[in-house]
Amino acid sequence: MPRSRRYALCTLLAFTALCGAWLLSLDHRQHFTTDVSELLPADERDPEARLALSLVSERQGRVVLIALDAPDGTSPTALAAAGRAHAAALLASSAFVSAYPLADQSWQQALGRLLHARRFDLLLPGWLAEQRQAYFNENAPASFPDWLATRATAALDAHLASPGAAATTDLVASDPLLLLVSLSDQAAPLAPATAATPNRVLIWAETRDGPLSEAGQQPVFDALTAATTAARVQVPEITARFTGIARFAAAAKESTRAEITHLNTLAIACVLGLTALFLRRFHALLHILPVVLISTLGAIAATTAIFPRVHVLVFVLGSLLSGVAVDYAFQLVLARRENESYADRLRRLAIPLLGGAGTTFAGFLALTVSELPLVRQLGVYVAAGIVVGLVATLLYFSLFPKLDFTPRRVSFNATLPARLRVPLLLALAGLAAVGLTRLRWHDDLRTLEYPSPSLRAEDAALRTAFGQADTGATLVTRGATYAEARTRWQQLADAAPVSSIASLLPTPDAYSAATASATRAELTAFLPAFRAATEAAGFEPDAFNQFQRDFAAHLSEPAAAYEVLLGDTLAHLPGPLALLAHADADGVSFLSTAPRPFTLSAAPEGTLALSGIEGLNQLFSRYRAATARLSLVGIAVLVLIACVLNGPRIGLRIAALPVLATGLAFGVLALRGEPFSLFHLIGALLGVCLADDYAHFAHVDDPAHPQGRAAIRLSGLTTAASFAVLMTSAIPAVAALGATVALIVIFALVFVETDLFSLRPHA
Amino acid sequence: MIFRLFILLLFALPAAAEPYQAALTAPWRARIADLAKPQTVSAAFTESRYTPLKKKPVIVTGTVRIDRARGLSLSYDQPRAPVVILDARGLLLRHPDGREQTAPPEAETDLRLLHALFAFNLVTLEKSYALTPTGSPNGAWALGFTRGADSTASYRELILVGEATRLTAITLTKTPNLRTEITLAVTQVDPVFTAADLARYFR
Repeated sequence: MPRSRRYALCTLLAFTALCGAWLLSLDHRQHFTTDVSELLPADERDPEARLALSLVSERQGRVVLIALDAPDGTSPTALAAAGRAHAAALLASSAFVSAYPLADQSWQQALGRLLHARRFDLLLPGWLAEQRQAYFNENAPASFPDWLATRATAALDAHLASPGAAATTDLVASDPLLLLVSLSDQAAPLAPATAATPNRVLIWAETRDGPLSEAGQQPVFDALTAATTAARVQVPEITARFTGIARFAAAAKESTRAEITHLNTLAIACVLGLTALFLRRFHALLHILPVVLISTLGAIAATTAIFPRVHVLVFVLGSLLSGVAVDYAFQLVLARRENESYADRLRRLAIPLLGGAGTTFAGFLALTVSELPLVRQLGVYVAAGIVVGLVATLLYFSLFPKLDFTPRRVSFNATLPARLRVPLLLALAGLAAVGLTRLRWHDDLRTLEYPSPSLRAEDAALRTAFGQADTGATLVTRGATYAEARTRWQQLADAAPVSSIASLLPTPDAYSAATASATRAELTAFLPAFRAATEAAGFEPDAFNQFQRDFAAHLSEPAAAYEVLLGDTLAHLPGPLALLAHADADGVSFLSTAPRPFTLSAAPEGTLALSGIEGLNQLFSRYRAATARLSLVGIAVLVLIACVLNGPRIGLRIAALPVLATGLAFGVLALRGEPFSLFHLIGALLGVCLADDYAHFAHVDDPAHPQGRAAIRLSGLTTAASFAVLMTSAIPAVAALGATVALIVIFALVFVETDLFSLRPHA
Repeated sequence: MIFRLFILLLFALPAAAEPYQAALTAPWRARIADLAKPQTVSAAFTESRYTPLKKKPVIVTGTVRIDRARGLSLSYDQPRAPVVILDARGLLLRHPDGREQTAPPEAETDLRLLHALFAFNLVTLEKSYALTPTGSPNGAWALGFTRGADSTASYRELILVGEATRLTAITLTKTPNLRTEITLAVTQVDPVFTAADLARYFR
């Protein structure tokens, strides 16, 4: 074997070994992800998107909603016992940190106990601020303690005459200022309004690990299965349903894995089938496989070396790299001429090979400056794959310089008469222009997900049962400290009808005023005045002994620091309420809800409305616009390269072919009414690059050597077929990309076959 | 409060099964059947609430309205008191400012008994209360319901007092010093509720 071939073989083997070793050294759980939220940048500058991402990764994402359904006629006692057994089994597992059967009301009772124990810290300051304001408004002659005692007694009397008094008799003895009683209106919207169903138990649970991690999926499902078994000890016929991000994440992972296998298998089958139609020496195709494998290996290795976490969708989209990589092999081997050395062949094909690969490389390289991780990763993947594929092709086939695929002779000439070219070009350009006027963008993050209608339906049913409706508005108020967040939330509450756990917390000003020594002295004087006022109003002398004792004890103790009080209180919030506030190193946030959507005239500082998927879709639109700009840059580079390699006259004609093919593909899809998205753009960029390849080779196509045309035809058809396979994908984004590229390639092939752009040198 | 209202529903009791067989004689069953007949009525009431906090009862007044198709509604005379609505969907408090509140989940047991009374489902009541009927020659009568040992109902005793086919007083007792006594004025049978009345007092 000549030395040059030995070097080529060694280089290929060394590269394969290096990439293989690198991939084997990777921790797949760490490097690969199926999480849709990771398609957005972690440092996304849009605050809503950033917040949405953090909510998914925080406690909200770990919530699992469970419904246990029993047959009609099941005893309520047995059903309740089954619910308790299920929750206990979840808690006993290492996968869950909390589980509450909602009917038990245990967490509401825990909240009631918490608020009662801290009522003077949390609720008295706000009440006191209101009373003091009323005192100043009245300009009363009595001292504040005496006035306050009279007013509190009157309010107590009015409460006892109200229809709701009977339910609060026990509470009023320890809370005659009605701090907790008046709170019920504010606290009620915070609890989920579950639909009462006699044969159902609802359980709210929180997993230990995040839903996107392995520990947050299978162990969670195992624990749920075990808990259902425990519940069946009480009610053997009970059935369990659950929903949570973990379930969607696990399903998406499985579906995407199946999708990758399915698409790759189908694409390879199509490529082989088409090749068999065009080539006599079918077994020679085995030579294509090493090139495709090395190209894919290099692409994966480069992508994982650059990005610490890679979304598997990159591999789904990148699976079509096999269709691109075989192009160079076909062009190189099929263009073989008798009595021409391998080196001469390379020299003859250098410009179209470099031009085609160079434009594809440049086009996808432009995507690597995108903000969107998916687009960046795809750019690196394809750009690296193109370079590796081209180099591997050149090296590999240098080992077999006399390899001949022996194409079947196909006598086919569709060249258009010269006089028809310009009118047809104008007509096609006109059609593309008309279609492009109908172009409609619709960016939807959900097009990236594998559709799971049954999971979605079950999720919606369970969320409805848990009282989680999508009809209201959700807002988040953030602050660097509890004091700042609470102050900002007050600005929101003053402007909008919102419910939040923040309403149970004092404002910093009110707390400061209530804990001032002068106020404490007034409150100390208030206690005997209140006893006298209630006795005078006909209350039993000892009716409020517990209140008197508790309040005196509170006044004798030093007040807690505001930040400590709120931090400690929120840390002890039970059940679902714990999700309504969040504190981390970046600050504090309060979640607020409103029963109906509304628009704030001016959003208070630190507050933003979460519009759910719509907000993320708007973000996606922004990314699409940025990608469109990058694609235009890529196309400009393509034109430039074509002009540099072939001169401006030919270069512009070469570049015009992919541009018209792309415009026409977009026009046809738009006329079909297909909504366009980011993935049509990515497809268009890939299609432009492929079509440009064919234009370059068409320009060097010698009519005396028909195998050149056969190479273009075969590579075009295999590429179109492999992208058309993507149209069968259940993931809408992948199908959109496949349709775009397949159409562009088909149009480009037709243009080459008809020589519409007069690229073909005439004999 | 919720539970003291239910007795008023006796105006609108539909026909029911025949529980408390041992306690009820034929005349009693006939009387209860008469009380159970669905009606549309309106009546003024006075409610005396005894609480351990106060030396004297708190007294409130209002009007009860019953529509055979829509359920029962109580409106108190205090200007800021909510309208209390009890119907097939449960209990609703409608505040003067338009806010609406439903009963808390922990009231489920008592609401179930309330609904049993609304439907005159004595089979359900029988599971929680023992019945003691008493009558006098002049037509006055009383039905005493005493809570069973294993019942989780809040009220230990319910007493209905009437004359002939008219209910005149109700007593709901939790403890000796925590009870409610309701007296009913003369009932207006089959009043005409306007559309505005229906919208305000029912749902």
